[in-house]
Amino acid sequence: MTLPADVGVGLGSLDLRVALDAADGQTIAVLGPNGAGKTTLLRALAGLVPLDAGVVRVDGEVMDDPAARAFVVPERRSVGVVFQDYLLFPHLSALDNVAFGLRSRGVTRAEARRRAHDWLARVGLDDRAAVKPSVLSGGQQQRVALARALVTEPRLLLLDEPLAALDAGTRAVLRRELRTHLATVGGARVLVTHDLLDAVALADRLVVLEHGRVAQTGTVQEVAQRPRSRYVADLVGVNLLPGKAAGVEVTLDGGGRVVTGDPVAGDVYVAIQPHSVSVHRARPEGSPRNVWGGRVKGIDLLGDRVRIHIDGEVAIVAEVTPAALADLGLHDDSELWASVKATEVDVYPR
Amino acid sequence: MLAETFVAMPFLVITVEAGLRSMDRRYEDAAASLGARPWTVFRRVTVPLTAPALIAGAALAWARALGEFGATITFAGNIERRTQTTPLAVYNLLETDQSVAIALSLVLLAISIVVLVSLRDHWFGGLRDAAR
Repeated sequence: MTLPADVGVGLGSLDLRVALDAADGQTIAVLGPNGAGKTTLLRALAGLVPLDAGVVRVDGEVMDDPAARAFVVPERRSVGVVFQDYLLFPHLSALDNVAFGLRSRGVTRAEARRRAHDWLARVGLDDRAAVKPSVLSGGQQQRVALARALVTEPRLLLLDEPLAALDAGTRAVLRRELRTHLATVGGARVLVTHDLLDAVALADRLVVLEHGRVAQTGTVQEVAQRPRSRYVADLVGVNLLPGKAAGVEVTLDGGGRVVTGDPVAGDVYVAIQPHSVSVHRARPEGSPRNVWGGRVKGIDLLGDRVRIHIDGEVAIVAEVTPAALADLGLHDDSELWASVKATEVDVYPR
Repeated sequence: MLAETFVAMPFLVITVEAGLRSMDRRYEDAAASLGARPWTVFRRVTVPLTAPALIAGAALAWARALGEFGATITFAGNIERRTQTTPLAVYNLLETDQSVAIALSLVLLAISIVVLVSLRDHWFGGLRDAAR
């Protein structure tokens, strides 16, 4: 149960060119800003949008190949979809919603209802089988949508922002549940999200989509540690500074210089974790090789951490504790010094 | 019959078309992704989701046909029990028995009020949605 796909779709202003690969039991998270083409990619995999170029195979079977004029209609693909706003049929009960896929595939009414009931029980909703979707809570609707997509045992499961419509508390619970359910079923999975937490919790690999192209791909750790675009860097909360390296010195494209631990050459990205940045009211003496003057542009509270956005020789974000912030007496427009040890600077080619 | 169909059909068509337009077509995508063939999608998703519009359109068309006068008398004549519609009967009775004619027209009036009242939500609901 594998999915090698090479998707090319042109839709209005969107020009999508994405190569994707998912093995059996593997979940690929597709991450990207709004309008990057994430939903269109899923629709192309489901057969709801025909390809203009490329090929989609599931388990070696060609689903869509415009060059060979091959196209399998959505209802003949073994694909399950959890839509962003679930799209539960409003006129059918929760049970009939889940049974819909089985009935459509020719399973008898009694058998379909029995299997649908099993799945409702698995998602903890066997006592809500008879009610219409409109009286279910958001979390319950999501569970029904998941059961409806999984009851037919699809070889490919597509999840379009399955947790986006939920409030923060419910989202955490359902993220955990989703992880458990995905572990118990076979097939390849493609998860579209713009929440890094979803990707970390549910996916084995990450594909970052920007403007219809793959901007970066790798394991969650790889992508989080070495972002290759502003979008990913902001998402994982890392300072990303493009520049030109010569030896241990990098001249940044945005002005300023960074001294690194290891010598490199050519066009590089410099990644600095915000917690590696120290802030001082007076210019620090001694060991740090990178010291920049600047002003506070903004202060964000982030859980038990404070992020200070610094504008100056090098625009950078520092992360400190609230106590440290109070000690320093910093507020908007305060002058300060930021320092980073050369060994805390990660440099990699562009 | 045929004349009435011609006169009344637009009411059905326009209402159903509006119903189809306002329906979220992605429900049909969802049904297709669950393995439903086009006919099953139509029968189990499209028709139930546009049922309010279908019923409203049918009621409107029926009410229009009930009150049909001009097209019937022009193309089908005014033959009692065969091509005579209620308004045609009222027309005839007005010249012979006025009180029955009034009673019959009151029945017509009552029917049209019932249809209007029962479809009130459909129209004003639609207006409310549009205003939102």
